[in-house]
Amino acid sequence: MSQKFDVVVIGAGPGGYVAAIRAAQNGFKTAIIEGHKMGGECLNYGCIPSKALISTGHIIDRVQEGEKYGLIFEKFRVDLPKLIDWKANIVKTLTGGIGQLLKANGVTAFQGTGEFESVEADGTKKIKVIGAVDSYDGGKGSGKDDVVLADKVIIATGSFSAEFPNLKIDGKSVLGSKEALDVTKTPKKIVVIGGGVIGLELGSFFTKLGTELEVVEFASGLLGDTDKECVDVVQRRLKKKGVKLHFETKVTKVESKGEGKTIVHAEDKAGKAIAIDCDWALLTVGRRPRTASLKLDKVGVELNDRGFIKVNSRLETNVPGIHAIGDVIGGAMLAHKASKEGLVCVETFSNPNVSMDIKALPWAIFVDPEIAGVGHTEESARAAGWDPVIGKCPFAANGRALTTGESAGFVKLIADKKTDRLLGAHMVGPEVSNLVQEVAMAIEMGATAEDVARTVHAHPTLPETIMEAAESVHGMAVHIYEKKKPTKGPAAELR
Amino acid sequence: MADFKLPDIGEGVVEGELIQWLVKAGDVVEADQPVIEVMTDKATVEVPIPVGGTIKALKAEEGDMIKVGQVLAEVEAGAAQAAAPKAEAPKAPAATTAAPTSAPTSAPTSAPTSAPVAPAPQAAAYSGGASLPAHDVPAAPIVRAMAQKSGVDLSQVPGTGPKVGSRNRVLEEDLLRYLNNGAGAVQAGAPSFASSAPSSSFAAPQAASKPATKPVPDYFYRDLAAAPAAEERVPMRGLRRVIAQAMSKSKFTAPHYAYVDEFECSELVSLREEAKKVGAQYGVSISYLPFIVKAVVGALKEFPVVNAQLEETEKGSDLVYKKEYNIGIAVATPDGLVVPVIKNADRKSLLQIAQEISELSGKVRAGKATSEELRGSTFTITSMGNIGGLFATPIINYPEVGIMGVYKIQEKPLAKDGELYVGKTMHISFSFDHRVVDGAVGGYFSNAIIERLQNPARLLMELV
Repeated sequence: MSQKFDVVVIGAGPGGYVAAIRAAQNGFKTAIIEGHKMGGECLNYGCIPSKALISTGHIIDRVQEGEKYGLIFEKFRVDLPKLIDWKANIVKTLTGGIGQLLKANGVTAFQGTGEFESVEADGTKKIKVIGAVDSYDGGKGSGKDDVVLADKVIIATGSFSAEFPNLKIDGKSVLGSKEALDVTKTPKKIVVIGGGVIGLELGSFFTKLGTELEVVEFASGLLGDTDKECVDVVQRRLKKKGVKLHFETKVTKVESKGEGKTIVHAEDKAGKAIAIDCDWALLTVGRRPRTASLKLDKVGVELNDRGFIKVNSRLETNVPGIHAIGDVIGGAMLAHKASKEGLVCVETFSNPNVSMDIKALPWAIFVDPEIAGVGHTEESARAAGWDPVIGKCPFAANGRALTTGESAGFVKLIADKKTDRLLGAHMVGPEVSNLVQEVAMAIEMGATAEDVARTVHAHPTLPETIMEAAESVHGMAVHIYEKKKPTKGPAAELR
Repeated sequence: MADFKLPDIGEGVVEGELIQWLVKAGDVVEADQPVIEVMTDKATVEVPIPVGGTIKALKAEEGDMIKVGQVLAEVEAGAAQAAAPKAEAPKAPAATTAAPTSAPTSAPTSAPTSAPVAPAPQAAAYSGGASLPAHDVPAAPIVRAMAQKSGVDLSQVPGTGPKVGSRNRVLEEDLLRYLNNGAGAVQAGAPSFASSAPSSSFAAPQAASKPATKPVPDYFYRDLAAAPAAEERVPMRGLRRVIAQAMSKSKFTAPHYAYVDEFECSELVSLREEAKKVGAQYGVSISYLPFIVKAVVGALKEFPVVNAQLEETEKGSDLVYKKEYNIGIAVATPDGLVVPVIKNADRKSLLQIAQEISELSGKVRAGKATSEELRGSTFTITSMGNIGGLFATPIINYPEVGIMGVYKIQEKPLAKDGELYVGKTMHISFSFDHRVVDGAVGGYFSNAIIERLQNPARLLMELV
């Protein structure tokens, strides 16, 4: 006996569960299929657990430099298993909360791997839920298989850690982000393969525990195409902490010599071989879309040349009634991007004109210090036809930053010279993951730099740097000496 | 680069509605190739482009009212080039999958560069990410959501919010005003910050800034998908808009009065039966209309004031007596009412008129009538005979001063010389512009028509 639903969501990550709840709110009879754990990568192995550890890492830092503030800890030590437990409890609370929210909204949850069976003549999609056997990553099924019928299907199966033929995650000498989050023994030394976001976030955490860190990156710099000035601040700090960075270097092999004894073999640009001894290596070389388990060939859903599901701006695949959101369609692999797509996707069901329309997609990297950004960089703004001007304010000029003991970094705003429209922000420093949202709001509202500059910002707070950076766009910041001549803003005569 | 402007497309036409673009930006066109469909008065014409080349950009939107001389497109004249590559759909963020140690799609690093050059058109390819192109319209997220759900292109909505560069921010009320007016232009008197720019952000808006009525665009988070929509809002476009404007103009300008009569038309019925046989020989179907047209022409000659028009002048107004007898015939089409014109009806035979009526109404129903065939009437007849009803009070086809309605013929018990008999009767009704045609004149005019229709011999005597 198969149940028929208006909307069936495959995957209960930050894209899928949000879409399912919104669909239920809108009166659709909704089901969600999850083969592993509620909350997906973000809640179980990504954003949440890593931030629990990283926040603790900051505390460790502060404690260790406590003398500077007059705080003396005589018997300080880190109990890693206890920390990992605490982190696990946060995850449990959040994932449990999602299960309850889904239930409270009347969403039927199926435990198992969802795979397409067919599209019936009337357009109904037939989906098999494989619950009798374990799913990927050892996810437990319900014990029996089910068949669900759906009018509309939202694919939200996300992504998984990429591997290479010569580099596989084995959980012993090569760990993925998921495995690294459950390490209970502090390693003496680790090698991060891939100096991207995940590798640097987790790698930095281990340095707080006293672990020695080396990073091997194929490109010529860290963090891909993130604003170079921001990356420089982080890179300087990593170097200060003794982290060794290998750029334009390619890992050739990881050799296991038994428990805690691993050798990472690499080759630099010149072809010189390097061998690094470590406890284990952390492989973070990107993520791949999770499509294999869906049996998309049975219904003819098309992928692009990089294996992501092809969708249009209404998040429709080539098969009517099959939609896709989140990591599995590519683009920025961010939980909040997936959630937004989930909401828009459900909205398209009720209105033929709705499509994705976001001007600003904020993001944050939880390295030390944090980097965050939204909207255009100077280069992309120019490429999009704007005439960008920069306003900048260092945290060293901010009273609040000094009182928290963290004053490295800056806020940089990008505005359009002619219209004064705010186009983007890139920032590095304390709490910038929380600061970036003000600029995201301003961009979505079509605000000008002057709008932000004229908005009163409470003192003493970190967001004052955003106000000063906005003033600096016109050469009018008060707490930085402006060498450049003030430019005329749109409201120049009101000055 | 040359501009393609709306050329003079016929006698006296100054503006029309752009119904359809027949080409799009990037298309290569030849000289004299039709590129737009324009509706003038009530005829739709295809307008050709005078020189060939590549269409670079369209400067007017379907549904816009366009004026003669207005720039409609930018054209790069000369050798037809292959269509230039268009702005690509947002590119997937660059990834370096080839490199074993790179981070292909590590999320945040891809966000800053994912802004595409052009906004994605509806349901364009999408690969995740935000977009902020240089021609972006400043508007709050909720206004954008409302616009999207209402199918409105925000760049078409005149903003009255604080200025951002040369552009005013589009406010919720701007969008509502736009929706209320169909795709209307900025209302005169709409509050505008533009004039007091720059940036008088906190200036109090003028008192009249509130929109009169608030439509219900479906913009709340919840779409209430399951609930059927309580109404559907469709912008009034094309013929419907033309009719609406014409009717309002007439009814609000000319003080109408109605005059109704009924007459016996037994003889007319017999005459028409005979005429049908004659018409059949020529392959022309003969309705009552040709006879009515002729009767009207006779009456118009007797009462020239009904064939006149009132024209406003600098000194007051003139009564313009028309010396042509051009009779408009109202025809219902699927899109709305259209009035083709029998030109010089006084100089045409009944057979010619019958043929012309059937030809013109066929063309009108097929949407093929030319602008010329729809203009210049001096008096209009509307027939409801095949629908029923007793009679109606039609609205004058302004700037004419009278309109006649004719209705179904039916058998009725009649009395003559104290005897009952069965005869055929018809109602006719008139609306007159009382500024020009007084009640008595209207009545006499009606009598003059009845006299001719009741007594076909009288009608025939006048035929030329």
